[in-house]
Amino acid sequence: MKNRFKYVLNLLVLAFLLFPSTHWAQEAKDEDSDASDKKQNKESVVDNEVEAGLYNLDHDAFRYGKYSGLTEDGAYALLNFRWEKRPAWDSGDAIRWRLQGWRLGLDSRRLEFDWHQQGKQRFTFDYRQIPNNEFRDGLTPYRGLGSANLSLPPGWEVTDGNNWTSGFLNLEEYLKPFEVQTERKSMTLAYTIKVSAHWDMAVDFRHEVKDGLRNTWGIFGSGWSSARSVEIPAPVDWTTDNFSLMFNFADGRFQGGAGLYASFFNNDEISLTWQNAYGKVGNWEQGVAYPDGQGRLALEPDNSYMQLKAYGGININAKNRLTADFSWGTMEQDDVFFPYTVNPAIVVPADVPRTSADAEINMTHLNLRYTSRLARRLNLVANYRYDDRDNKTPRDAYRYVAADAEDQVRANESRINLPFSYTRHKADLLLNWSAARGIGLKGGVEWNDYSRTFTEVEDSDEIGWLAGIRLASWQNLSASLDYRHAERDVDVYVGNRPYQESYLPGTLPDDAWQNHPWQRKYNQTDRDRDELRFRLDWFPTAAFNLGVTGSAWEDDYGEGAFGLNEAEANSWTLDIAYYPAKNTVISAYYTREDWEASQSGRTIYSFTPSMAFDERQDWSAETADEIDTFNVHVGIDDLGKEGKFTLGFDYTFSDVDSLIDVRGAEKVDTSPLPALITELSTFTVYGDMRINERSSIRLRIESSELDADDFALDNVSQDSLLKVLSLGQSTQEYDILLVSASWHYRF
Amino acid sequence: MIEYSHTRNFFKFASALLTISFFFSTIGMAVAAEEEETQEAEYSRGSKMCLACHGEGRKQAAHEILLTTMGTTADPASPMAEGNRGCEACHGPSKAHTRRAADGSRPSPAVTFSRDEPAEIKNGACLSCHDNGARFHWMGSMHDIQQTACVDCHDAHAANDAVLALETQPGVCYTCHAEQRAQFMRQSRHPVQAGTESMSHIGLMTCTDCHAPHGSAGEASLVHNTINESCYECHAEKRGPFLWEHQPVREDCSNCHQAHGSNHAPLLTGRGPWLCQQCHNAWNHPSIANSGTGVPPQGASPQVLAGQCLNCHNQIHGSNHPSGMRWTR
Repeated sequence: MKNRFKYVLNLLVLAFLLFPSTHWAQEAKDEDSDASDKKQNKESVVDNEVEAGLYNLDHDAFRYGKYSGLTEDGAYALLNFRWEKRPAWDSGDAIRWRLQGWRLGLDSRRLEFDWHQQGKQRFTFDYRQIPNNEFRDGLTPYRGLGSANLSLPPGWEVTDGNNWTSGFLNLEEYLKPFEVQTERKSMTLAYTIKVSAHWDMAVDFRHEVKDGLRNTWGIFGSGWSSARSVEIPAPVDWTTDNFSLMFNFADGRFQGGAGLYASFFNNDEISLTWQNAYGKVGNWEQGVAYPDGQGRLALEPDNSYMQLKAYGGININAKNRLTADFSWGTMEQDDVFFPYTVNPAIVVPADVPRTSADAEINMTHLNLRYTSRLARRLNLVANYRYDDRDNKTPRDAYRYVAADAEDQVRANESRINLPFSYTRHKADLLLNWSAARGIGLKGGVEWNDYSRTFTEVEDSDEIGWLAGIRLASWQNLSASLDYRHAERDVDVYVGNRPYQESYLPGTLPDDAWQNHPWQRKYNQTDRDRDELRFRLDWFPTAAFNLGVTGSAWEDDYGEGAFGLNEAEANSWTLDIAYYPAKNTVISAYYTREDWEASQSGRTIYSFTPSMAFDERQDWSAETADEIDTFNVHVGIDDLGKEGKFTLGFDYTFSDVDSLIDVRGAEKVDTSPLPALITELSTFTVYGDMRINERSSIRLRIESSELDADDFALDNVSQDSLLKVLSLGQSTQEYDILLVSASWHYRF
Repeated sequence: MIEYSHTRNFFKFASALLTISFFFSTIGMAVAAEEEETQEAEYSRGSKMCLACHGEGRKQAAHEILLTTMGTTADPASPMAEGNRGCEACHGPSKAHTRRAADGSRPSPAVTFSRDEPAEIKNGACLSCHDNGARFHWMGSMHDIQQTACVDCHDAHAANDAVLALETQPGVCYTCHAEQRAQFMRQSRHPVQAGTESMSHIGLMTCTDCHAPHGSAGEASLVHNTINESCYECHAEKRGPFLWEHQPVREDCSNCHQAHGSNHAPLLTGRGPWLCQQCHNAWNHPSIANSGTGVPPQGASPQVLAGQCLNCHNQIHGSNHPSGMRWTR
């Protein structure tokens, strides 16, 4: 890092030695053009601009370019532009348009066109490209990457009798690198037209293609002893089309509208098959191990969502308003089912009960809101919300062929799908009272009722209250404090019933369970929640301001049950901005966040009641994320004798320490885990030298370093795990220097 | 099956509702009784007069408004259109502001949009025209309840309003949402411009891709009805419906994901397998205590290393395979 900063400093010095000489050479020539430009600019602001130049990245850094596309070392084109027409205000012309492009030389390019006939119609076109680099140091023996069929290379050998990853002979010889990377390309077209004084229509269409490779895992067998897995590249070949059409009405008193939203997802690959790399495991059927065994995953199925929407609002009088939103939609998915197994060696004595999913879920939403100005300083907001998910997917019994390897011969062990539905009612009432000029108080209550099917908690409700104060009485100080408390109580707990419902009736004893009977799921169970938010802004002078914001929440799930017992997060931020001169800004922020969770469990190696109720098998885990984020920014405009220079510095530091502490009771062995650490520091310097009213030269230098420790990846090679052939990628880190130089022209 | 009293919390809710209503109604009636009378003010001679003092180079310059939609006279709805009030369409009748008072001071315009002016007054000026479309849900929205003024985010006088531009919008939101600014610095995050100049944190998305800051029919001011519906806008492959559903996934993506940013990829609220074990304590491997004994050099546990639980249960968002009931296929 020391050398890096030296290099940055040298570049800066060089740049600012060069800038003035360029500037002097141009100065005389530009005097005339400056004068004419000023004359031209008297009546309009010049908004057209183009920036062209080069980036240069000094190292390959796949992770650094995760979203920008600045991935390989070397040069990249830098090209941004904006071409805009704004009507002169009193010209009688109401048409304005803008064509703008960002990062056109990179894979993260964006292009937008906005045409607007003010008061009449508007058309926008938006093209976005979003790369997403995950990692490129993963290695796989599989061939056919990107296709729906993966095979092992010729010559792949497995040691006789060794069905672990250690049984793969000469593994390193077969490993090949590849990139886990996807890219989205989306195009949005939107058009609105004012049909009459009170009616308008809005239509919106988005087409998105996402392709590339992601990592997933393919498994053979099941359970503790016989499961074997390989981490494999899966093709991403997705297309999504979203469409919406709305007709809207508005006059002084009524507003309303109706329309539809439709979304269609298409996956070009419906499954992924791969050759089994492992030698035969005891429970597996004959012919499913290497070389004949194949595995098959169902990839994300094609699906659609159609939704009808309507809304309306009425200003009952000057003080009261009532609004309603209603929507009803249906999600559908009907992809053809595969056979239970792709391996012909396994004979399943039953057909799949359906040829396709015929899955359908109806979604209904209703929102009602009443707002009232009860008195000049007192406002009321009352909301009611209804949210319903009605899953109409048919229920059938399906055989369980454990991951293309183990036959389930007993029909009574068939599993029945659990199409999950819920209904939620939520009501709240809030009162806002302006006690005096600049002093506001608020208070409210809320109630939430949640009913679900096929889950442990069939009904729960939550009641909460909140209060807040806001002070803005003084020109240079404002503050606010909000507190909320809510208690969620389980009304109907059915425990193991969903587990029982997933089997054919009568095939399990009534008291059979899968999750420990004392386990509770945090998204459903009893919970006390406290939330606090505060904010303080201080503006002692026009040149200085300071803000402190913070929030804290704590969820208490109670003791005595397994699962998440407690979770909390505290966050506070200090923001400072100082303007020592008209052309100078110095700003900084620091954020500290602490996320903590406490959970417990009990180790049960098998379905053994004596072990399940033996507290010597207990364990607990405390997890904590401690996060510091700091940034300082200095920007100086109009530097130099004629104010032709702009200079800026930006430094950001972000440090995350994630700690996990697991402790076990008498019969449970535990040992400390290493911390998960991410440390990012970025230093950017930029300068801008104006050559004349229209042109400037820009230089930008960024030094960025990411260090990370992750025990799940570090020192884990492809065959470190006996039952998982992983890609062996390491934690993504980088240490780069990015320099860009560009010419900026306004016209 | 255990059944609890279903009505217990409802009665709690009703009593709290009654108490709070009574308290505020009493206050409201008292306040209503002392409502002040407002004096009728006069309008000035128009915007040209205003811009004579608030033109280019002046301390409170407002001339750039003429470059915005607000300044286009060809649109009859624009404040600057013929017959409309110009600057006073928003600032209210301000004739008194054009002259000095007897004591030499200059009276303020009727609506100044200054920091200490109540949000209700400032917003009243904006909402007198912008009360439909995206503002349909404004009344009673999160920002309305927080007494956020339109001018806290928008600069109506600027030729380019920062909150409407892709590259500058998050910066405006971070003025209040500092926690989210820090979260976008995490190693696993959505590509929203974070509070840094780094090219690694450029903005390919904006806050308004997911949120409707003027209010919406959805929770957390999201653009769609629910968190999940909003996520499916870009992640439609997760929508299903699947044959084998994972209940918390279908209910709320934020049960496991932290949308703005996390230290645990992909955007998870915690690290596997402990995150999974917050719900799963089934007999056999889901229940075991995972610790440093599963990390090299002490060991190599498939529950702790590489994909952790996903090493086998990779179809965690749902499976459509007839034998995919354990989300492995």
